Amino acid sequence: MNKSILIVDDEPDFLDVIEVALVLGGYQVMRAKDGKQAWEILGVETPDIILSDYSMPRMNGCQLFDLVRNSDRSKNTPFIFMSSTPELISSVGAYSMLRKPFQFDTLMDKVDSMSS
Amino acid sequence: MEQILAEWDRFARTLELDGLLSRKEIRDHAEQILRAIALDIDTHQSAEQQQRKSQGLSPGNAAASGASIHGTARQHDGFTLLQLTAEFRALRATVQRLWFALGNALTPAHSADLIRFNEAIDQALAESVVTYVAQATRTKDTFLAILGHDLRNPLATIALSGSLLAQPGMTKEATALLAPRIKRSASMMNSMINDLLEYARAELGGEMPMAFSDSDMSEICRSAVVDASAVHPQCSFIFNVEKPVPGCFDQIRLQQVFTNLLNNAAQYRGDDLPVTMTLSSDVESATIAIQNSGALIPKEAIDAIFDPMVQLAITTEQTERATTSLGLGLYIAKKITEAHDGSISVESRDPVGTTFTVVIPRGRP
Repeated sequence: MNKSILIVDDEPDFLDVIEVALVLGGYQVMRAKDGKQAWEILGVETPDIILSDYSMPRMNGCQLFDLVRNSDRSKNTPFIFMSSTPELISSVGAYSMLRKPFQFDTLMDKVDSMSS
Repeated sequence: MEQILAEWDRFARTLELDGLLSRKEIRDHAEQILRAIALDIDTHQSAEQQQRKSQGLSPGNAAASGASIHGTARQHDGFTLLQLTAEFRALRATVQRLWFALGNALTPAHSADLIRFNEAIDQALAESVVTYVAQATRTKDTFLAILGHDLRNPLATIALSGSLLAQPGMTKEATALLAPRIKRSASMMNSMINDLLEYARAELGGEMPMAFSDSDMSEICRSAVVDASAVHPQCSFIFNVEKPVPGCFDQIRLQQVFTNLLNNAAQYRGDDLPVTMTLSSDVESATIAIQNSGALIPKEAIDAIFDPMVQLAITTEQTERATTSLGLGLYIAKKITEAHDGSISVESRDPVGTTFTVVIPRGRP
């Protein structure tokens, strides 16, 4: 059974490309265009990893992270931030970081290490 | 007080502050500063305190803290440092001129008051400048952070796509999916870099090169719709035009304006709603309206929407998080419109949504 990953980003092109990468890496992918949609998905699905952008409309990555960490259902799910400006992320708690831009190998190293 | 404020009002008209603040706001600020200074003069001051104040070592007082707030406010309002210092210079000159015009003899007590007044003005000015510069630095830091974010996002799509193309397991379908995304991302980066260069050129006082020629505004609009559709393939763009609108325009520049406006409208529209572009004309001018429905633009953001630095200062403070757009496109749209002797305006209200309206004269400027 493939591991599942929820990807969250408001850039549709980037979302498409990262989906191609993760499918190639053997993951089953769920996608959301912002934190709000991701939170709705997390109400019914339990992905093995959450990979989320930081700057998004409606609900940003930090707000999503806070909800996830305070939820019994998903509080232990590994959470990886993707951001081009990681210095702006102010949330506290256990999360991992992928600095945009990144290459395929960097992405796979990160998600594989978090899912193992 | 009223006489000083009336003089001040006359001076303010010479500061080219139109559009930055209303007349009432300018008067309110001057009144606040004067009241704070009057309070400072009425407060007892020892020789030692006076010495420390002259060396800029005085602790904050009412005038100084009022001026601190004033400095930050002026940066928000889009004032230059020169305009900020001109305000204090004019206040000093106005008060002294009016005082001497009353025919007052200069007694030792009056001299002391005048010295106190000048000290208070100097200290208020110094405090204002400190907070003005601090605010300007914060805004510039935010500008750079967002610039990095805006450029790295499409770069992230290109970088990941590039490394994927070298992977052995890539199918033909997956490869075909990457190509248009790489192209769009490169095009977005190119557009951002162009905007940034235009902004830098305008800020450095350079002229925007224009190339006017006989052309058809409906074709310019149509080309902009094609450009925006390529960037936002999921968005439906509706273009309303009845007939060709010939005139003397800079085609490339105006296409840049309309593409920027259409891209913004697509980015900030509500889910699955269309963006509408309407071209109308009379003998004198062409009017282009670009409308979307979605979250409205707050009133305080509308006032400064064509000034990226002011806009950044407002949005960063109000939302306590970084915005994700520099708004350079709107600044450049205004510059290009002005180079055509035209105008650009925005209205955002329920239930119509947000409409940017550009009016361009059809004759050569």
